[in-house]
Amino acid sequence: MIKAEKLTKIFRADEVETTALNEVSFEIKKGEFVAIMGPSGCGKSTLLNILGLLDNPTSGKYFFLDREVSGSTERQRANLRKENIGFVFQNFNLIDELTVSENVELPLIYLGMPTRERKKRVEEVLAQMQISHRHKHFPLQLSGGQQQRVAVARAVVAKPSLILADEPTGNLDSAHGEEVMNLLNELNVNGTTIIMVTHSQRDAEYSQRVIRLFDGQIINENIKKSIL
Amino acid sequence: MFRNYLKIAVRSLMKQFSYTLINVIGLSTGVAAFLMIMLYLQFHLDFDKQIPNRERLFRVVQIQQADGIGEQHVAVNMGPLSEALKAGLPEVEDAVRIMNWGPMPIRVGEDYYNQDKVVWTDQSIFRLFGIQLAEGDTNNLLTEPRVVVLSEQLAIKYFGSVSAAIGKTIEFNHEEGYLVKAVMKNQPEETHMPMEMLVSYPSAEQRFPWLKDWGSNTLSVYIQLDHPGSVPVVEKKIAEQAKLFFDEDDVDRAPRMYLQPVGEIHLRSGHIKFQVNSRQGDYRIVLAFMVIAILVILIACINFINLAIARSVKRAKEVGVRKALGANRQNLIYQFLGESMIITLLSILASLILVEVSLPTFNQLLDTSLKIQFLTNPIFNIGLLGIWIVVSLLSGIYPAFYMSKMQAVDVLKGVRAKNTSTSGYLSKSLVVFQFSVAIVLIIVVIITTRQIRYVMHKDLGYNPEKVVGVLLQGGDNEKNALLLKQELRNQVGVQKVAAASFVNGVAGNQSTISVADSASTRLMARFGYVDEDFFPLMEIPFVEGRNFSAEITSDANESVIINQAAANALGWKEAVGKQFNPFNTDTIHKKTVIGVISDYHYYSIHERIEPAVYIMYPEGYGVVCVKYDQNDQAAFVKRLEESWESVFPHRPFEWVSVGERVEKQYRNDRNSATLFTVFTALSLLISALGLYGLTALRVEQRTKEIGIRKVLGGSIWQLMVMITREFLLLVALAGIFAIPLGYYMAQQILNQFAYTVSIAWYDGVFAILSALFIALLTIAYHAQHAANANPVVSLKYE
Repeated sequence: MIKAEKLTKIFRADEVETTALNEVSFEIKKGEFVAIMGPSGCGKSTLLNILGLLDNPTSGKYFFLDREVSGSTERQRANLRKENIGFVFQNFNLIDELTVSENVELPLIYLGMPTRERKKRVEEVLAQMQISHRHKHFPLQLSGGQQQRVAVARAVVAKPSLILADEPTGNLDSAHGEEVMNLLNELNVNGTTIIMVTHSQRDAEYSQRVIRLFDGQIINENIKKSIL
Repeated sequence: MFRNYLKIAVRSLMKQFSYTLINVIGLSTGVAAFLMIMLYLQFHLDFDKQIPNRERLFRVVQIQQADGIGEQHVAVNMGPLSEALKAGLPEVEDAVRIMNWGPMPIRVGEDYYNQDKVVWTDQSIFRLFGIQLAEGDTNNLLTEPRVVVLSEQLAIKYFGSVSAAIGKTIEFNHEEGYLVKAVMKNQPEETHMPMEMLVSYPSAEQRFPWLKDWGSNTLSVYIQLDHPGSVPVVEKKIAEQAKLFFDEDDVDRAPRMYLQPVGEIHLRSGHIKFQVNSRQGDYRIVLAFMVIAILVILIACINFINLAIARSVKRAKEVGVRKALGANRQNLIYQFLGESMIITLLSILASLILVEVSLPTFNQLLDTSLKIQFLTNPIFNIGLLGIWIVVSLLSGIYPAFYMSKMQAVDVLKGVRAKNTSTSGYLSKSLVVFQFSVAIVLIIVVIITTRQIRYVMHKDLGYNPEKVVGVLLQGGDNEKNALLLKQELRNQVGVQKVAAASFVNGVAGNQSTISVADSASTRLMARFGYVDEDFFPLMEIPFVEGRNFSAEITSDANESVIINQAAANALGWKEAVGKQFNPFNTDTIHKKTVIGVISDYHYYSIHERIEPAVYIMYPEGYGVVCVKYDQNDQAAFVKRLEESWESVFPHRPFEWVSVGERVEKQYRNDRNSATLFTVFTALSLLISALGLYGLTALRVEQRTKEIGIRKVLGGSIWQLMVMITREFLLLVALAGIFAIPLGYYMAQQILNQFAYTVSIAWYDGVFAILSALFIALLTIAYHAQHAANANPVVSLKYE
């Protein structure tokens, strides 16, 4: 599903040049649950942004669904994103002015789905995330755990084949964190590919494979024995 | 998708209510000002719309070389000109003469009237001015002498109804037997040439045979060309073929002529003397208002742009999320433009209420009759739609592009969207622009207000206080003036009475006179007909010689008094005793100068005082002036009316207050100045509102910085200085740009006056200081609020 070949990302600010990713290569198959770990500043989020088509690499090749996308335009990336990728962020990133339903509905609107179908899908996914009773509330009226469930609902509503989660439990207490991890696990069991950036060893336990980054390079890839 | 945009737009606008309010107040005020000025513009451009072939109809204007005055443009011409042009130039399809000598005496049965808007004119008036009849037939209507056509309202005034008027006769200008052959529809008010009564031109030629001479110069001539493009050809031919039109003797003195499009008469005739131009406008004033309208609306749009950019920091997250979820730039641009369209629409609705509320005052100030008419004024509706689109785009397009450009990755990474250097500079430049405009307007207002005050208080050279003029009616002026003077002299409260051609002492006509024994020394002079009481009554001092005297019999025929301007034009150090060749209706007696009066403003201060000569000519008296010592003018005039009725029972009583007449001459200036002041205040208010919002957002963005500075020991005062300095510097910079422009514009306005105040260096300084003061007041609130805030709270918040 995903193949990275010598992905490099260099940030330039005035006279300082920072190499956030240094010739990173790996492959992720459809249906995998992969955790990316490493200390702060090792390039995890940069990698996730490139994988999520929010950013382009400075050099290297990125194959997404067997298509080379590293040099694609913003418009092409936007189209690929809305059809294939769902995002879950550490700070939820819900739009405060929209209700729970409306937030979840947003990706479907950008996909151009007819209203009736959209409403139905939103209802289904809210039920699945057990947040239906809050569908008319605004994000700021919810607890952190509830907000992240809404965020996950939004990420999966368009039935993307890939979910990218950036520290999905980072802002949650352990009980809520576990809830969210179970949701992601369930999605993975049902066939969704998940790539998750995390600091938490506990969260990483849910994944089948861990890619460890240090100073922009992969230092090792652990494939869990249970999978082998 | 649209519903989603709408929803988020409405919610986000509601959430930041104060921001929305600032935008709506600013934009609606701007749009209201713009709408009113556009209605005002439409009012002016609608003048003379009833004329069928407006683009091909021209007024013939002469350029005269007036002795003692210099070049002057006049819209009066010779009696034979129109026919000569029509016969001699193939490009001239049609022509008409219109002669208007002001109010004319009319008698209907036993009742006398002093009828205004009366013209002698040709049959072609119906074709060229699009006049339609309510009753009667236009065929050969005005080709015979002693035929008149009344307007509907005049027919009703004189005879009770339109049909009753037909076939009746009236006495016109002291001649019996003028037949009312037709009644025309009332003419629109928006015309430079209002007509209530048409008198056949042959009546004028029969009564005044000299009208057939090329030497006469007393009526307006309009010609219709085959094509608007023929103007240069026709002008050239008139110049080349003067011989065809003028007698051999007069060819040398043939004036230069040009054609003025009828469509330009209303707004572009400020330079023309001797013209009928009812409710004359000035394109410069209209233009100035238009510029102000555009600037005010631009300032309001700038508020929108600046506040949107400043607010973008807050909305960055939304942009990032939307992008991550698949929104492309186009989606976001539509969304933000949608928001600006909603705000603009709200503002337009609010502005319509504002316009409706303020139109009566506006109309009163500008002597207009503007109305909002959705049904009958399609241009207004199209205009509104245009404003909606243009303002929405103008204010929404940059923020839309700016915000949609933000990268999702930056936003979501938690990197706060910063004001990039371009948007920072843009914001600052826009604030500078806003305040430059405000300061320019302040400078203009300061200087024009001073000029108006100067004009209102300038010594006019006479004392118009407590003087009224009673208009003589129905002819026999010499006898009637004497009768009235005798009657009024004994009335309670009357101090002095005098007879004159008009309350300003001059008759309105101008002619060339020549100095005796020197055929080449000539003077173009205004004539004034006054008796011996006029100058003392008006308190006009003599600089040389003496006044007329009833005891000195030769004064009636041989004496003349001139003003200083005339003496100066002729280069006379001592004028008394100098002589002129016979002039006016007395072609026998030479006139000897017996006195020189000090110059006084017989017309408004807009015009330079021109040479004037005064003679005792009782038939030319049109008014009896009364100086009174009563405080209640209305009661005094009431008693005057009673006296009038005892002397002239069948004649209408009409009077003018000299003081009010003077005041009226500057009313337009004062009203324009008032409006300029209002618009200046508005532009300042909108700019200040914008600055208020901008400071609020800037302070919010700098909460953390302010908190850290406080923790590190910054005093409240230091922090306030830090916050206010940023903006005050911009206002000061605006001042530097504004001063030259403001001085230039003020000078342009002063150029309209012949006598002006001077522009001082401190006008600009004062304008900048006022702008700084207002800016400081605006910023201070937020600055002290931020500086006083508890740093712990602000740092935690961040």
